[in-house]
Amino acid sequence: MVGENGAGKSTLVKIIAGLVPVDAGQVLFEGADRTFANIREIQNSGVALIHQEPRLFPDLTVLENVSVDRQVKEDKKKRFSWSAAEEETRQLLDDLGCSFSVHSPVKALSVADQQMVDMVSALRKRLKLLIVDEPTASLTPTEVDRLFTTLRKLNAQGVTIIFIGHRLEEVLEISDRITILKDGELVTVKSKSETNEDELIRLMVGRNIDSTSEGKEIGKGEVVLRVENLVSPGFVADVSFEVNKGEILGIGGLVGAGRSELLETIFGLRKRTGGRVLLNQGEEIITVHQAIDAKVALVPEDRAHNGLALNRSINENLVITNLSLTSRRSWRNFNRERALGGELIEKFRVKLSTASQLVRELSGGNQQKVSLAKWLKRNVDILLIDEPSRGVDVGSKFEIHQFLKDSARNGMSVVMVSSDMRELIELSHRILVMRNGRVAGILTGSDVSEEAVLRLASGLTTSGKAR
Amino acid sequence: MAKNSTSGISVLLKKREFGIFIFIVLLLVIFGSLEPRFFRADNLNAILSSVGILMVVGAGQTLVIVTRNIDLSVGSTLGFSAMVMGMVARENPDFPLVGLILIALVAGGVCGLINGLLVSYGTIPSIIATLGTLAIFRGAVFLVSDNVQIDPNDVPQDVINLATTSPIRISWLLIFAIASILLVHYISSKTLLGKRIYAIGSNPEGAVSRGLSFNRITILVFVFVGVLAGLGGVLYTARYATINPADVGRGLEFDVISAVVIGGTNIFGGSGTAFGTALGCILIGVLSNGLTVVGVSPFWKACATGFLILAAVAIDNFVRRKQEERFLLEIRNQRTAE
Repeated sequence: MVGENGAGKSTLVKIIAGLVPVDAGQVLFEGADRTFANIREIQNSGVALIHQEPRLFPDLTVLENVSVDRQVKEDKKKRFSWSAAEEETRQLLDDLGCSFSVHSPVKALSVADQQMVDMVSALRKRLKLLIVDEPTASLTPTEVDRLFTTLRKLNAQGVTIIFIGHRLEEVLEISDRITILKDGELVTVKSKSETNEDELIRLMVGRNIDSTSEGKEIGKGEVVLRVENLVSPGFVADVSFEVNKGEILGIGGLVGAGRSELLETIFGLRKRTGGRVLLNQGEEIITVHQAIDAKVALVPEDRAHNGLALNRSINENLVITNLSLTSRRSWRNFNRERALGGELIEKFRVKLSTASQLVRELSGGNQQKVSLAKWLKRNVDILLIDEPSRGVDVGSKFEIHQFLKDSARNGMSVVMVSSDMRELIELSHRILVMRNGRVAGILTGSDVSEEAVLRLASGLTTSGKAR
Repeated sequence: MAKNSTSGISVLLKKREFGIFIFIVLLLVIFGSLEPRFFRADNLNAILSSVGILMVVGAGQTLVIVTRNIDLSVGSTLGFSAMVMGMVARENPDFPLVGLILIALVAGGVCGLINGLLVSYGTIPSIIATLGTLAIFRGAVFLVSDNVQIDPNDVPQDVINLATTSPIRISWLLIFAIASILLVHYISSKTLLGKRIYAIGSNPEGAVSRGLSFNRITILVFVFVGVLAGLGGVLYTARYATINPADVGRGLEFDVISAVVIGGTNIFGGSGTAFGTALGCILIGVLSNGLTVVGVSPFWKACATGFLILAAVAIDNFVRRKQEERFLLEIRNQRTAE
């Protein structure tokens, strides 16, 4: 099963596994209606879902993780015994070519090994359908090979497998048929023999976006932000790029490629172990305070938790970043706060009943506007924005896009992370694509296309070392 | 690589329990040399009895904290169970001992069930739910007893004998204490149920997606600590032979939670051992008795216990952070190597 970020693959399989409730329609498994079965019933009928993040218990050992959902009396007569379970688990691990001990705590294993443990927990049962959701995202090539050998073996034993992947070559390698999803809908189903990577990408994208609409020429103006060899352990590896005045630099890549973490590292939120972030006069940004003083702003992806105080009024949220403007000698001035809030609300056309309404009560789009608007009185020079239109309605999305374009035209520089291809291509002057924490490539001008971004993101085209 | 860090972690765990042990020995030496009376049999007995009651309740509290919950109401639960049992004994002097014990266990279990239901189906955070029941159960002690205490001559000799007589050199009270610790050790290390208890504390979302019945396990754990607090009520009655509505079990939650945390149970759930808790109980018991015997003012005594908890948690956090950093580094090195 393939599709872009947000195409609905994960949600679909979570519905099948009983983790997400169904609104309409039916799930049939072996001819029986399984639509409203609970997780346990579904698992007992032989369905297992392996998520991207392993569903493991870090404090327990491998053996305990595998056994935790067993029944005390599995086959009426035979009672559960640890020694039998250990034997069985060791056998399964051997089959998968794993060398770690069944007694090591899971938190001491690497991600790949943890995934193997998750796999074994699923294999332990009489398995009929195995769903693996992007299992290869964090694996190295050797680990992927080992995983595929296992999947093939299972398949030969009669287990049906749904494999969700972003690396198309892998999907083509392992699958018999390929289902393409887009925007939550089924595009088509292709058999392996009648398709190829290029066609799959075309089907996943499904449209051609005119990337040269609206004069996007940027003055090769002055460089306002220079990131040099930035490293944040585990997420960002040796990232360098420059941003010009008045430019929108898009950052594309798959989920987990380290894009949000890159923004956070630039802004000083994340510990960095190497590299520098420099402004045009050569001053360096290390802490969040320095970033804010240097007129850099971050609008985070998870606005509910990081961008807004949900249980506070709209006005308070707007004023919080501007208290130095509205306060006199450490005392708040409510008249000024109201005036400033009103100005921002009008500018962004935030739809509300009163300015003292809680932010929690606003729609996603209006929340995002508040999250963005609170920075604007500070004359932001560099705006770092993460998924500007996630969970935002079409109208607000348009307004946010318009705002970003206008601001860029007026000289603000924008670094925008987005998983929405259309947004990325429409807004960005250049697109930096990340993969596994590194820069996979930077696309400019006529090179920019949805296909090119996907290719870089999934490692099909590499401007560095090949997979 | 997996092997190295495995043994690293288990060594650390051992180190922790060993560390508490050394600290206890150190305290014994200090108190003993400052005040020879400390080692007199009656004083040691006093220490063991209070440690025993702590252990019984602490064993249950360990499992509660492992599931990312906490039970603040254990002191009131103990008091309520003791009072109900004491009143039955006062009205029926010939009531059999086993029957009295069962009454206390059931009374404790009911308190635990209420907590469990509030936390699981009521979705009230345990710290709030049990803060409420801490007050409610204490109120219940006053209500059922009409604020009349149970006097020593109303407590059956059979009950008092639990603290003084013994089948094998050590008193029944200590046998119950050791049995509680061993029971929790067995549950947590040998049974599937035990592993599920640790699993829901270690990764609650993961537990749900693996089909574990979250609410049922939570309720069970609260009932378990309630029953053990009920047993604690029996042992309290045996030891003090008096049940005063205002005093019985008051403030016990502080000592119990301190002992569990000092014993190495992670307050964020997922890990902790019965033996660690047992050592924590001994440490608290020795410290509290020793400070009194050598003549330290009660005010300083309270500070000392508080300081000990903070130190234990600070050391824990420090060790955990170091471990995590080292681990991230290892994974990265492994990656770049490939």
